[in-house]
Amino acid sequence: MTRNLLIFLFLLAVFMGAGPGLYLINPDPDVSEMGASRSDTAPPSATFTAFGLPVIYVWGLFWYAVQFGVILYAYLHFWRGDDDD
Amino acid sequence: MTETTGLGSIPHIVLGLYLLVLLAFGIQGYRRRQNESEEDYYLAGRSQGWVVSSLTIMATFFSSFALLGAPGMVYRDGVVFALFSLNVPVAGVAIYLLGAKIRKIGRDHGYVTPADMIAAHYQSRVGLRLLVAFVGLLYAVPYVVMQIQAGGILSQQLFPGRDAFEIGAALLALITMVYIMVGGMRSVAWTDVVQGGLLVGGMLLAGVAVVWVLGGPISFFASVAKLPPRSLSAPGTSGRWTPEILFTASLFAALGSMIQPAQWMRFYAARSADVLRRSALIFAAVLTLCFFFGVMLVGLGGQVLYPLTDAHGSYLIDTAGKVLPHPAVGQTAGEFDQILVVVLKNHLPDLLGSFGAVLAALVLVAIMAAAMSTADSNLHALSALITHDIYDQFIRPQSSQREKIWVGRLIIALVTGLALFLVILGRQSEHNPLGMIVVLGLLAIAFSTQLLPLTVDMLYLHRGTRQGAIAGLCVGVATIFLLSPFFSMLAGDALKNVLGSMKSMIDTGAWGLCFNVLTFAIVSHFTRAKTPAD
Repeated sequence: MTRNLLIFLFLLAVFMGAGPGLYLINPDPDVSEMGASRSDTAPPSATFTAFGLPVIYVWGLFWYAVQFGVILYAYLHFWRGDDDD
Repeated sequence: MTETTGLGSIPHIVLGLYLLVLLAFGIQGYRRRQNESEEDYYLAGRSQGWVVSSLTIMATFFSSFALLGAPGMVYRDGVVFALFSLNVPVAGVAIYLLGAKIRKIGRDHGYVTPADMIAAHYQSRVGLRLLVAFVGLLYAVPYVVMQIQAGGILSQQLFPGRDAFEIGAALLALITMVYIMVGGMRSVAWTDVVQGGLLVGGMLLAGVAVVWVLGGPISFFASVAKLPPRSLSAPGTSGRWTPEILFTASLFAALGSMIQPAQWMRFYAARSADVLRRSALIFAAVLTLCFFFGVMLVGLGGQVLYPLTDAHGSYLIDTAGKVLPHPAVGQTAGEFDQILVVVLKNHLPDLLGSFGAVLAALVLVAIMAAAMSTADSNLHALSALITHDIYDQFIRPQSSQREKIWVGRLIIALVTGLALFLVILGRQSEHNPLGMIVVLGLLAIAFSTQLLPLTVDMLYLHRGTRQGAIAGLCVGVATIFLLSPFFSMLAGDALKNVLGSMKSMIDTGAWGLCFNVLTFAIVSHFTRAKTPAD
């Protein structure tokens, strides 16, 4: 059960982080260039940043954390260091 | 050679020391040899511990692409390419899930090359062995050529002057060739420890340096936030990196790079499964962080320091409509990957004086290390493929261990000489050899990825047949060829629209893999399995 959950989480992180999941947060440069997606008071970069960093960069770091969490758990609980298969 | 780089004679000293250390490790590898056998020469007696294994796997995985190509791609396309870093944890998982099984079977049966295991599993002494060796050659040859070329380009940047390119390329090729010939896998792995350390340090140092140049993290990201919208979103400035392309390239580049011959032989060479278990964890942790917090920041900082747009916000483009780098970085669309060298050379010495020059020189030597560590691993693997899979199997099966090693050394010398000749000849050609070699490099990974269905079936599924394996591999390789520039060179505009739309949907290697898997499954279904499970 846990093993299947880890596999699902890892594949999800690959799909979301560097895959089609990116559409969920990807800002549209054309809309932004015309000013349609920004309020008059928002700075020009508002739709492209989160916590002061590029939103895509933050997205990548988050899914990397998920990937590494899965790897670390598997390393500690499932991956064996001996030669028995 | 004259000194006009702004770094004084520091690069000469750092580079000289580095090359001396490499030669010392090469000689030490020879002195530590246990006997004159293929197992010792090609697999270091299957005795590598986790420190050496981790660093040699890292150094082989990252070529000059890590320090030149990746920041160059971010400089051109913006932050979207930073997501390519997520391929590294996938490769890390493959080190354990594929590597530990490959190591065990290899040790139990005394295998030396990937073809040994695949040919034995599918009971195909000739056909599959030659096919797998051929795919290995398709991967290794362009990689050796690319790395020698990177040595020439770096030399040209560091020591501008007449023949700097040729001297740099020849020096990289000669020293690499000498230490592989002398000490085999042991020397390659030990020098990879030095080179892997330099690579990791260089990647991080480069990122820190660029953030420093722009006034620290807050000021850096404030400047980045003001970049043009296309630099902060997918598919990037050139429109190349759609999420679909990014996904397939990240996934299959990682797996294809992990089952190429040089990595496969590193799995055989590991002392135990625990070595690969630790290597997988270190790989996934260290290298991804080096990408995210190192070289990717160089590309973003590069866009701030050397903008791709003019004062009116228009991109600089060439006559073919391709985006151009800032004139201070390069004059053509193929020169984005100069960004790291340009930033370090132009800014660090001004900011930090002699200390900055030393830091810049260290990162530049790390680029040389990245190129050499990939060249040596692939040259060494090439030697094994030709000697073990062809010479030993079909030309002189009765040859002694000593003879095979000497033939392997001769092949290393011949391939190095040939690769150097191609690099120098290509440079003197009027065509665009650099572009072609980059294309060859990307194709190399796509070709290597075609071994994935066989590998997964052999290690986990045990359902494929010899006929299915041969058919799948042939179809996969043929698909890559159809999608490569070579097909259009031969066939002109035939199938141009279909192939063009295929290439814009997903990565070339992924297309090959789709047809490969489909063929493998169908043919295996209709042919009786003769393969006993391992």
